[in-house]
Amino acid sequence: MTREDLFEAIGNLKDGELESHLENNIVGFPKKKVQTGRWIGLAASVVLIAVVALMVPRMFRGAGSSNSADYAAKEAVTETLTTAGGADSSEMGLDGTYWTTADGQTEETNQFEASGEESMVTTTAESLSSESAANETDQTVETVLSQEALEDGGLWAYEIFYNFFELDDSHITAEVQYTTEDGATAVIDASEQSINAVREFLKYLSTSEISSERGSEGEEVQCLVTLILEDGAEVQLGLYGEGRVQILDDSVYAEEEAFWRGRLIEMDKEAYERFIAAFVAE
Amino acid sequence: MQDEAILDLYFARSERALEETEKQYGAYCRSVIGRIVNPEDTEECFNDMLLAAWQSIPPNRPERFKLYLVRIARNLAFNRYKGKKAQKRGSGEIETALDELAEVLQGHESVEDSLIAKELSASLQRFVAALPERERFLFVQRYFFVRPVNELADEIGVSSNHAAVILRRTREKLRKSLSEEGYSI
Repeated sequence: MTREDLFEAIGNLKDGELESHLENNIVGFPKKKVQTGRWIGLAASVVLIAVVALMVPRMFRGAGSSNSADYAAKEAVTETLTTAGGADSSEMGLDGTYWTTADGQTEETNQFEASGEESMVTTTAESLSSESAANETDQTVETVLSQEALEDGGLWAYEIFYNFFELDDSHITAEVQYTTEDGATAVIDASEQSINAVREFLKYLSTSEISSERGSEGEEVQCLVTLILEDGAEVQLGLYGEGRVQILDDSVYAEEEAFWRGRLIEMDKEAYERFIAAFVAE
Repeated sequence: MQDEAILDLYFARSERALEETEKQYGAYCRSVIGRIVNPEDTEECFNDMLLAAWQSIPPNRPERFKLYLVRIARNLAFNRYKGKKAQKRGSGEIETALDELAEVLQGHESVEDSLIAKELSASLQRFVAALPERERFLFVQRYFFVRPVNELADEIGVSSNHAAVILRRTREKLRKSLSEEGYSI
C-alpha cells in the first residue's frame, strides 16, 4: 500500500461523513480561550514540580573543580542543605558524592524529600549522616516561592499540559531534585532559577517535534524531569547527552496505550546547552 | 440559485448549468484543486470537473451537489498530480499531506487489486466514523480536503503544534487499526 492508495481511499469516504466538513457547513468548535484572570487564578493554585534527577553527573564530580556549572550546583545544594539542616554553610561542603556536615561527618547517601503544596515547597531533611541524622531529621523548613516565579513556571507548565498534552484543569506541583552519580539525592528548593530553567525546557519541548521513533534502551539518562500533576499522574522526560529527550513514562495517557512513551524529542545542541546553562546559572 | 434548480438545468441540458455551477461553487472547488495541483493546472482541472459533471448528470442526480463536485475535483486533481509527479512536484500542501500519510505505512507496494482498494475504503470509513469529533474533523479536513494544518488549528482554537500532534496521534491510530485489520502495511 502506498501513500497515494491511502489518499485515494480517503477520497472514497461516504458523503454522510464528509458533508458536515464542507466549508460553510462546519459547526464551530468551542475555542479554548484562556482568560488572563483564569490564568492568574490557576497560577495561584498551580505549583510546578519538576523532579530533576540523575542530573548531569559531571556537575557533582570532583570537589573544588573550577567548572562553573559544578560550582553553581554545589552552591545551590549547599544552600539547601544549610537551610534544611540549620548548619552554617561555611561548615558544610560537597565532596564528590559525599556530604560533609558541620561536625565533619561524611555520608554517602544523603537524601532530602520535598513536597509541593499550593504556593510553597516544603523541604524536609531526612538523613544526613548516621550521627547528625538524629539532630537533623524532622526539621522542616518551608520556603515560600515568589508568586511571580510560581506564576511563570506554573503558566508554562500548565500551557504545555493544556495545549500540548491536552490536559485540562490539571494542577502541577513541582520540586527540583538532583541525584548524584551513586543514586544519592538532594532536593533543592524550587528557586526562581530552577523554575526558569524548567520553564525554558518546557517551552522548548512545546515547540519541538516528537518523533515517532523510539529511543534505544540502556542509554544513561543524564537528567530526569518528572512532571507530576495534582492527581498523581506523571510524565517523565529523560534528557540524554547531546540534548536528546525521551518520554519515558506517560501514565497520563494510559488510555492511549502509552503512545508517548519512548518517543524521542531532538533538542539541538545549542538549546541543550542553554537548558543546562539556565539550570545552573545564577 | 439553489442546487435543485442547477440540477434541473443539467437535466434540461442547458449550458447555463455550468455557468451557475461556476458561480455557486467555482471558488470553493478551485481552492480544493489548488491544494493538490500547481496553479497552472488548476483551471484545466476545474474545466475537467465541469465536463465530468456535465457528462454524469444525468443520469446521476446527486443529493449533495457541492460534495459531488468536490469529490470529482479532488479525484481529477489527484490523478493529474500523479501523472505529473514524475516531472514536477505538486503544490506543497499535497506533498506534505502525502508524506504524513506515508508515516502510516511501512511498505510501498501499490494496491493493484480493486477489491482490496474497496475494502481499504470501507476500513477507512469505519476508522473515521469511530474517531472523536475533533480528531475526525482534523483528519477529514487534512486528508480529504488537504487543508493546511495552521488553518485548521485556527479553526478549532488550538496551536498549529497541537493540531499537528493530534493528527500525528490519529495517524498512529490509523496505522494500528489497519494493521489489526490485517493490511500489510
